[in-house]
Amino acid sequence: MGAIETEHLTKQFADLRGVHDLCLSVPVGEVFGLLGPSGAGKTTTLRLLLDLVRPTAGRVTVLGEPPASARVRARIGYVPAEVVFESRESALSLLRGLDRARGGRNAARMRTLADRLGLDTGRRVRSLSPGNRRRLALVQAFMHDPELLLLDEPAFGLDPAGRTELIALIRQARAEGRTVVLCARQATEAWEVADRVGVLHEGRLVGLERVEQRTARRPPRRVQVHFADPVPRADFFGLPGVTDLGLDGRVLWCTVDGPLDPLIKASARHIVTDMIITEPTPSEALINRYYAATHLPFGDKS
Amino acid sequence: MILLWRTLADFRRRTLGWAVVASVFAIGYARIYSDLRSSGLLVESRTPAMQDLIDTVERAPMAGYLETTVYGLMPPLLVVLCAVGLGARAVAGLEETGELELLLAGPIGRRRLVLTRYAGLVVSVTLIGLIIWASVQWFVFAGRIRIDAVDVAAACAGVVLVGLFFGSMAFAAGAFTGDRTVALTLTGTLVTVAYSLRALADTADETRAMRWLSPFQYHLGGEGPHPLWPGGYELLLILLTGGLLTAAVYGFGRRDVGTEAA
Repeated sequence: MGAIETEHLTKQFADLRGVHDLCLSVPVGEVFGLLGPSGAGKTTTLRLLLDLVRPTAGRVTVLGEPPASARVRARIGYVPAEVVFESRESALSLLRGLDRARGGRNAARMRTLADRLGLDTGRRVRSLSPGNRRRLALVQAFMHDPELLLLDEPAFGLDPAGRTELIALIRQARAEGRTVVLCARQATEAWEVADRVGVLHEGRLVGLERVEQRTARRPPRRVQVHFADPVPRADFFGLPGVTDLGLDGRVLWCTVDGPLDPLIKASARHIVTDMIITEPTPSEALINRYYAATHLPFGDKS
Repeated sequence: MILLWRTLADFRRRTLGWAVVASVFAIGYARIYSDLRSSGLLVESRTPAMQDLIDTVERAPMAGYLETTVYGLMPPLLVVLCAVGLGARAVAGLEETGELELLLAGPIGRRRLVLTRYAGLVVSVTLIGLIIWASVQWFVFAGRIRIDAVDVAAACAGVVLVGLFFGSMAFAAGAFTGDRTVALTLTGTLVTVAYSLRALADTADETRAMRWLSPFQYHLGGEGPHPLWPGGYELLLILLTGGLLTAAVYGFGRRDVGTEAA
């Protein structure tokens, strides 16, 4: 039994957004990255796993039980995508209240996490910056050492130091055998820690693969070449792996999928003044690849 | 229990603020009453409205005073407005800030959360009634007027009941929709209609029966102060309030929760 099991899980909102026919299995101890742009269905998926949103069809179990069970939710830590917090109380007071609602046994762990993430717990919640609100959300999610962590855009608003601590916390959770689901739009952090990533598009799971499989293959790069004099387009037409070719007098741009050698040798016939290579992040490359073509959902085949 | 304390802390400022304002109005009316009684009623300068007030006071001093001034005019409306604000905030307000999502993501069931927030509403509105009662009693003890403490308590209970009725309406609307603006607008409109109906119904004999369409009429049983134990009108208000709570629990238990879903 996996930490998360969904079978044809569907949630249809009135505006047709939602999640459609999601079949997913996340084993215990895995860090799973769920990628996709705004409106892809990432947040809805997490809310379905927490019983905040009720499915239109399909089935979901979390840690072996339906998420409607309060008992199972006690074993989950959650960071929501939007953290408003308008309370006049201090961050410490809010954290204590949330801790007491869970039994009140995690005060020491709460302080440790707050120190580690650099959260000033003495400040009023409503006066916290977006980054500190995110830190507050992270502390309340991790403080009871949950078996399952559902993190929706957890790095949003964090500075580099906070992001580094977040990555460390997720790695530590995995080392302790906990399961983590990490949702992100620009998921560089997901790429750093995830064992597997899934790509959602318009509520459907259109991509699912292990991270090491993706990192073994270089993603396509955008290349811009500047020449001393105007060059003929014909010299670059039909080069292997070169697509999206554009030429404006002395500047050529294209996408290269595979070795750069053919483009470099063709360019070397002219005087090159500059060459700029832009490589997408692995997660961007994965999203781009799945979004570039029309895919049918293939669900979880792992 | 921690949830209830957090709810009361959440309501604390509004509760105390509105209680002070309602008490000031109650004491203000009491002072006017006292002055009217002691000054020979300023016979030469009576306006029609003042004449109505004085007639009522003269006809049945204690009962007329309570119905016409302290518990028949502004204080009930102020308590109702406070209760509506708290009712709308109880679920919908919490949902709009995202805190509800955090609580429900933990080991708290929806029914428990709704009932606890509602208990906070009941305690807060009751506390306002107690503060008004204590304020008027203080005025009585100061020797300015003579009113039976049970009559004051009964009138306060009526104010609390009508406050809880409209507060429950806002609570249910918020629990159903997750939208505080919708809850406030809907309930505010109904409060305005009910209050206007109660006031306008008395302007002519033909429309007098329409006063029974307004809950503001029910809280005093239409007959001024009355015994503390629930009578028929009070029972009706309690039943309607219970129905609204049931609807809130039912609606909240079956809908999607969260700022995006709301």
